[in-house]
Amino acid sequence: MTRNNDPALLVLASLAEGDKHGYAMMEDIERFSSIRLGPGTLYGAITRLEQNGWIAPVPSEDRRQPYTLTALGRKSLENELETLDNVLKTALKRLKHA
Amino acid sequence: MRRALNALISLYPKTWRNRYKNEFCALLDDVSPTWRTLFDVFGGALKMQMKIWSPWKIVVAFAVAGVVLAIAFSLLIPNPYVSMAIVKIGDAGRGQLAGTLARVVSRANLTRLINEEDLYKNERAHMPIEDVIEQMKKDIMVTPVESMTGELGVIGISFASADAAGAQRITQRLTSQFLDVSAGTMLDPASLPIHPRRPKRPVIIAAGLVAGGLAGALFVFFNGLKVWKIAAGLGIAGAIAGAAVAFVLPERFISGAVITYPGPDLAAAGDHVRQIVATVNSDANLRAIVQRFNLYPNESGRERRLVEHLHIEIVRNGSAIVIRFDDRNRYVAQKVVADVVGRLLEESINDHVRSGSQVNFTLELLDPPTLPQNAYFPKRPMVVGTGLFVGLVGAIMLGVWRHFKKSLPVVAA
Repeated sequence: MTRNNDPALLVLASLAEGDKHGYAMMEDIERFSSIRLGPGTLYGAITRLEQNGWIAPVPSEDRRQPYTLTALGRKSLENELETLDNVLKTALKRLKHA
Repeated sequence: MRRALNALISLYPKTWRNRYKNEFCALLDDVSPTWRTLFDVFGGALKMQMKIWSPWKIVVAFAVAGVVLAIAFSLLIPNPYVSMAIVKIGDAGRGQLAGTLARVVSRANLTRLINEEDLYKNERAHMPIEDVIEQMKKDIMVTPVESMTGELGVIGISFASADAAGAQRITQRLTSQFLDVSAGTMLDPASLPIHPRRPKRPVIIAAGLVAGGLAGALFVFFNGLKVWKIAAGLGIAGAIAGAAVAFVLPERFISGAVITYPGPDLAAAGDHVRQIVATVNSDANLRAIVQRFNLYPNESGRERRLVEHLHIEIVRNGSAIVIRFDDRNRYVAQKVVADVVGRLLEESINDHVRSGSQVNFTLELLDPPTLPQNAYFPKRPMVVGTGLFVGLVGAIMLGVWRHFKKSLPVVAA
């Protein structure tokens, strides 16, 4: 199971909004999750995700390299979020009945 | 900081740098560098390297890290200067060598030396004097030396100190005290050490190499960092459990004293000393001690319990008696030892009067009963360390078990 503070999941969630380069991802992730990823951690996740074919680089003139979510990445993110959603719903239901 | 960050990029694998270096540098230009960023980039480089390294390369990397840590550790160990003098014990003093040594390293003598020479200044600031004396005893070495001419009774007296001149001065003082008592002759006076005694660096480095290699092998075997997190967790849990046990166990304090026979006729004194100790160790006397100090009030076999904790030891053929007693109460421990010392001295006088001997066998108090400052039991750092070790071993065993459980063939239903 992926943890909700897994850098790969956070990167996928950030790119679900649109293409972004590394620094923009860091800022966005901090905004929606209050987690500040370090450059080493972020590029560790980017490397892994690109190798899996879940994200891909977008051609750019700038030194900053933007990335986009691939169809495979979108599917994986949906699966992960579905699992997390099930966990959340079950936990909330149980809390209400407790 | 920025320069250090750029330097850290070179730690990433070459293939990774070929693909990501430019954009990674652009990202580093955008962020405000902090120490956290530095560690994060370093950690990222390490993880990337680990991904492409072969198991052997990982083992070698861990072994190199172990060697580097061992070298750093060996540099932190203080290198003391050791001064040594060689003396020849006179024929008269040869039989009393042990007694002479006991006198030279007695608490009273060492305390005087420490105060007069202002030794162990840092240690005295945060340690009780008893512990400083124990430290000094470790720094004094008296060893038999085989002389070039094959003479008997030649010994070397040495003292180790961080200060070369201080080592020489203390060795000179110890040697002259030794010669005064034993009527010996100086063969080689205390030297001024030029080079400090180096720690056994090759042994430490070899230990670091082996420990690093083993850690690397375990890392490869357990395939990643997860088991190390478990190991750290279980190790800390073990250390906490050990600390809890150590603090729950009742403390015990040990008090000690030394009595010597200063006279010349050691052979005859041996029998007298044994007789005196037997009298003091008698059932009636032990019962009296138990009642006087109300020892072990709620326990059966109180005298037997006293015998378990009171040790009256005749050493060096009767030239000295060492008395030790341990108890939960440090003051009681000291009082019991003082009582036993008083009885031994009293009995030695009575024995002399009873025997009507011309030779005086009266004993002399060399080291008075100590008031223990620190408990000798439980040894808390050792208990905590044991807990940590057990936790780490437990984690490794758990990792091995999980590894083999995964590898077991699944039997079809």
